[in-house]
Amino acid sequence: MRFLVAISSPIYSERTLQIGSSIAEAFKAELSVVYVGDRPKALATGGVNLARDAMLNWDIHHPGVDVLRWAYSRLQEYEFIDADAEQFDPKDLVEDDGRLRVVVPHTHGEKIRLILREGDPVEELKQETNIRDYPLTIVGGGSRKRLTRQLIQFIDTSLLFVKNFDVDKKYKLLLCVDDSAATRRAVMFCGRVAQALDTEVMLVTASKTKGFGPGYSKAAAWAKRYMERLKIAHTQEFVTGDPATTFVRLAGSDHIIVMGKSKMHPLKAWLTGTKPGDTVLKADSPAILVK
Amino acid sequence: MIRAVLYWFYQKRWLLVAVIVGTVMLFLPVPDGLTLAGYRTLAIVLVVIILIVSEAVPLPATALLIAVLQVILGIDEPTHVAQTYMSDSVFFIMGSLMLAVAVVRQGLDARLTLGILSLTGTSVYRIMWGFFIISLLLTSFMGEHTIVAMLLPVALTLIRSTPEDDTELRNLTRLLLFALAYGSVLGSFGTPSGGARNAIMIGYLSDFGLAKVSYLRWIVFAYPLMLVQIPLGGYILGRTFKPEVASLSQAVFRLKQKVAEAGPLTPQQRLAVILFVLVFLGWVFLSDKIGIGIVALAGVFLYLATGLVEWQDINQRTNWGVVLLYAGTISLGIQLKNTGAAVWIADNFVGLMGSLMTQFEVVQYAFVVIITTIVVNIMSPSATVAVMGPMFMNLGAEPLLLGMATAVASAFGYMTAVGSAAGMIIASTGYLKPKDFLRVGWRFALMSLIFLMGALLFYWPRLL
Repeated sequence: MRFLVAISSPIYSERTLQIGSSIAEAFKAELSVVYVGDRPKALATGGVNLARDAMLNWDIHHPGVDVLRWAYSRLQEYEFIDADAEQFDPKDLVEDDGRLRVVVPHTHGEKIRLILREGDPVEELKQETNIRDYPLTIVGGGSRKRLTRQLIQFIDTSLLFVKNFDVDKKYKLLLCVDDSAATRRAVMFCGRVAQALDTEVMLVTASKTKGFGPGYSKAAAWAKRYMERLKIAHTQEFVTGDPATTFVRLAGSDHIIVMGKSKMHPLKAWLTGTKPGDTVLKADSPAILVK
Repeated sequence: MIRAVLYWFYQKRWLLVAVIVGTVMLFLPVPDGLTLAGYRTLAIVLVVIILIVSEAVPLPATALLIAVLQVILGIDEPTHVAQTYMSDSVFFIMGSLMLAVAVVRQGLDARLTLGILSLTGTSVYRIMWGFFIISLLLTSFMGEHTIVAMLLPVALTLIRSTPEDDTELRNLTRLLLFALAYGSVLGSFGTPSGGARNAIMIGYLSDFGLAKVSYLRWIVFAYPLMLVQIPLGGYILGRTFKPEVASLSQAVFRLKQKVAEAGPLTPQQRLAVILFVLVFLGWVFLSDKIGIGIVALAGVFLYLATGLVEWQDINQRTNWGVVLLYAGTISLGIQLKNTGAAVWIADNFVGLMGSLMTQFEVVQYAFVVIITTIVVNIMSPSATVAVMGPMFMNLGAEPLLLGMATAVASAFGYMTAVGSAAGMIIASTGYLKPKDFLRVGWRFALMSLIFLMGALLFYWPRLL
């Protein structure tokens, strides 16, 4: 299993990398770290490439390479890779599958992959997830409405939005249970995360109306049975109100929200947004969207 | 399936916008006073502007589309369209891009660095002035990206060689990078060879029978305007980004050590400098007779013939798509003139502005200068001149002054990274944010606008 972590700069990506490596470690997964930088305007690419060529003679590399070097050293600090591993060498940059990749020391070459891309973040991440089969993509933010919606709409993998993540905090999981087809996968994914992080789960079923339909009740019962089977400590809540607001309120800042993808028609989702999308945008804590 | 279609729409949204805008325009009635060909040319202009700004399709594809649409929409014959794609201006753009590769490949950056540092010493402000003035002077003859490509590694090495963590030196970084970039931007209108847009404007003025502007005459017009902005420009930079350290003595020492490893000038480097001086002399004394583009191509030939640069290097590093795009936009500019669309737009601008525009030339100048400055911060300088030049030269005031004003103002792309080649190059280092450009850019833009208006009113009319 291999997870994808998208980073932009050391200032904004520290937490993303930290939670990415923790979850990958918990799942015994390998990690691809992708830096997506701005692509120079096409009219200036000649000049930019000329400058970059000249900079190489002075041992100055693409800014993305510096970010990947930083990520590599951080992963050593987090003990995701051995501290005594060979040093990162920016000269080992190869073109691979239409993007650049830093070939890291061979003993860790498979556990960690460092990838450099330039362009629109959504398009580049989509291309990256088309190259390899990633079950989970970990991204920062989750507060920029348009980008968040586009990621949810177009990226085919499950998504973890690292929002206000505190590495010193022991997070619980808040699992949103409803009658959508993706709830089943969300429950299973949540179970694995709970086992890996050794934490408890709050199962929450929210309805806009007072009553809970049979679909909701069946899904909630199944989710409870699943947690019991895996022997995961859990509680269950049935709440009335706007789902997104309810999930966000119950999650507070000490739960990671886990949701299945929306059952809404893609066109309607594109025009109006979805319940999971609204939840991610409103949340004060990290959120996982399972697809 | 629907998601795939939506994703396609997401990727190609601007292409769709361009298609819709173009199609709607074709079905609208032709405005009074405008020929059908002129109206269709305007529709192509709108489509092309959307495609250039959004980069919805590769730039060379946009260039090809210009030719295809001109013929399909019946604006001109294929042979004549082909002819409008090639001119001395296009030769110059091609030649200057190739010369940039040839010059940068010579490794003269180390020598240049030693020269600058021996003049400036170790004070941060003196180094800033050194970068600002040297890049300005050199760019005026050699073009923006040549000089920025050569000096950028030097500036970054200085910043990285400071004992302090370079992430703590944000203002120092901004100061040196903007000194380099804005020096180059200011220098780019000093001579015709400072930027492709200058050659495009000279070509328009000549081809449309409006004025003959030699290399030296351009210098007489533009060089004083460039030089006079040096003191205030440097002052603005120093005031906007107050550096965290006052001296770079350790960094300069390390840099000098590094540069010293390069040894003295090699015979090849001497020859490279001599060849460039010859090209410069050719521009000054021969461009009137044989064209500024032919001189640039002759220079490229000399670099290739003497083995100073390999064709493979030039071929790989020259952005041929840009050459094609500029050729296309120049072709479009010529059609704007030939179909009468340029005059129609100019007349309507004048009509919209009322009697102020016809009575006071200063209003026309201000209009041209401000609109060009705004557009260039969104689109590229050369494309701005290629498309807008033919319209602005017809506003009614002296075409030479309006043309020169358009060309010079197209250098004022200070406020965004996309406004100039130099801006884009320093932005690509990852050290700068868009708000950095805005923070210092509006001050520079204001300064340059005031000085250009001053030249238009008090200096350039004396040269007619």
